Amino acid sequence: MTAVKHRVDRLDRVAEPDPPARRRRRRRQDWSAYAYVLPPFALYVIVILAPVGYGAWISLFDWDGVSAGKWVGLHNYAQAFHDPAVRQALIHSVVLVFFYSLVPIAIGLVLTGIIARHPLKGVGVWRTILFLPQVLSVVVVGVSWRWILSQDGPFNQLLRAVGLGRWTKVWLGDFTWALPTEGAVGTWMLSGLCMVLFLAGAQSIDTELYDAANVDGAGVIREFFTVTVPGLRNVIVVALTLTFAVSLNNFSLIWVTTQGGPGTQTQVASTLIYSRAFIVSAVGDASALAILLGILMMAVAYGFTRLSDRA
Amino acid sequence: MSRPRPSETVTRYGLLALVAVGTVAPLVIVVLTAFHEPGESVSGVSWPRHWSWHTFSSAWKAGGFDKAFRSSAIIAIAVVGIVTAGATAVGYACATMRFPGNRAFFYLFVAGMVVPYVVLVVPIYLEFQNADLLDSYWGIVLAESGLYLPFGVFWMHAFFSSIPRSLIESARLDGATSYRVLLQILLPIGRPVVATLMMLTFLSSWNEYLVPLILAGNGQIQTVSQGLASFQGQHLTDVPSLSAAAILVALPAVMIYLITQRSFFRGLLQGAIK
Repeated sequence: MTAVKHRVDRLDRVAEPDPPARRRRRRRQDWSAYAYVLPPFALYVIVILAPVGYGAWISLFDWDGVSAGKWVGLHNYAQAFHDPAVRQALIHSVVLVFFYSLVPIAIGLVLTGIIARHPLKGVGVWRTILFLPQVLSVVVVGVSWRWILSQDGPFNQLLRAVGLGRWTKVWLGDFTWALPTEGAVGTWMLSGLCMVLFLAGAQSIDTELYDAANVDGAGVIREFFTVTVPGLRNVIVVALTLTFAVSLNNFSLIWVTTQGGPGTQTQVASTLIYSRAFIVSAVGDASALAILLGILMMAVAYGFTRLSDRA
Repeated sequence: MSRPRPSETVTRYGLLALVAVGTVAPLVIVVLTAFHEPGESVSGVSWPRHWSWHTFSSAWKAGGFDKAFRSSAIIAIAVVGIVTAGATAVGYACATMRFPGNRAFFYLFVAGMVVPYVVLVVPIYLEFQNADLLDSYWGIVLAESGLYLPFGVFWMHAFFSSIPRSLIESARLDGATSYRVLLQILLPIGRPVVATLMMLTFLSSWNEYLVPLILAGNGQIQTVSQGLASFQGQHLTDVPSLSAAAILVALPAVMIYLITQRSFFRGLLQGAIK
């Protein structure tokens, strides 16, 4: 964002014309700009700005969404901190962040570190394949994996084939394994995205840096941490922000595969908010949770941008 | 630069191939499953005894996908139109025009990118309930357009900022209105940028599940994602039909992706890497 701003400022200066007539013209405000900005802004107010304010207002009431609400001030917030269901959902969300963000980024980085040491042939084909999960509807992904991980599904067949037959189970229906399984599906969805980003970023790393590191006697691991990772710093921040947003926003995949079950074993923040609002009609309570989650997500996203070297 | 040793080349391409196979294998399995007879009990990965296209047509009919495809197409096309026009207008004005609040408007829009959906869906539902916009195309289109608009503004603003000021200024001095500068000079230059935005917006809308689930819960309007989810509910054990339905829903998005991927990646990676 700041990069864009600097660029605009610089262009302003370059284009500064000398005849006084032109300068006067440039200083004038262009009121017609509002004709461009205001209609889309109305939409923005209806769908984003007003709902944020409205949600914050509702969160101060004990309200079922139908009858008259009762003003409770910050009670919904206070309660959220003592609610074991909230704590459980947050812990599950953190587990998903591990599978959705950290694992794909680690996989992507290690592979890029190995692959990007020399120019790669067929980049276009590889990234077309690796990016494919991103263009699929999450519902398609959910339906597919539910079948693959079912009792008679291909995954259990694979386990039997390699002699791990006693491990077979309905993976998304198992109390212990449902959550890590949801996580693994996320790892499948997002690893390719991270690799596409890192491979593109690695094209700007000078391959001679790898040779220089070799000459200095750096091993594979030193080279990874001194050349690959610093060279990809900004792209890593982009990947971190994207995958983090997906993991905490993730409602659809969980809802289509397990609806938070079995029991509440895959209940995460977003499904908890949805259930509270639309199933048990605790609208005020759900709004308070939504606001808290929003603040948490924005704080973390802000923290990520501080990690990039242009901050 | 040193040439890679042969063993290293094998490792590099071997690893890539491994990841590529891991990405595609689940999808191939689903395609294989879909070519079985409807209702046939399939166990694991199995080669269809006789390839049956029949499952696709029966799933298409049973799931009412003709209606769902029409609804999703109407919604996606309207959303693409609104987001593209709106994002172009705001990006153009904020990046090239001088008016009180041009920075403020831009930052406000971009801040919308980091507001999580979960914060918005409950109040949007209540707001649209009051405005009688539930279970209507208007409601879904309005909500999706508003939700995708911030990214579009960010995207188009980056493009308009990259255009030399002098180009716009000289056209304006020749007496062209700001509207003509946009339409006849800038948009022709920015065609790939606009195309990438349109494609991303189309994919988001076609694949959207949460917004129609909340705003059109009565089932009068059913998008493809909702259609597939409820098809899953009714045909839990009919794995071939379920797989066929999933492929039908995925097909338009995958086709568009494969056709446009060249220019799509050029635009996308420029945005992410810069």
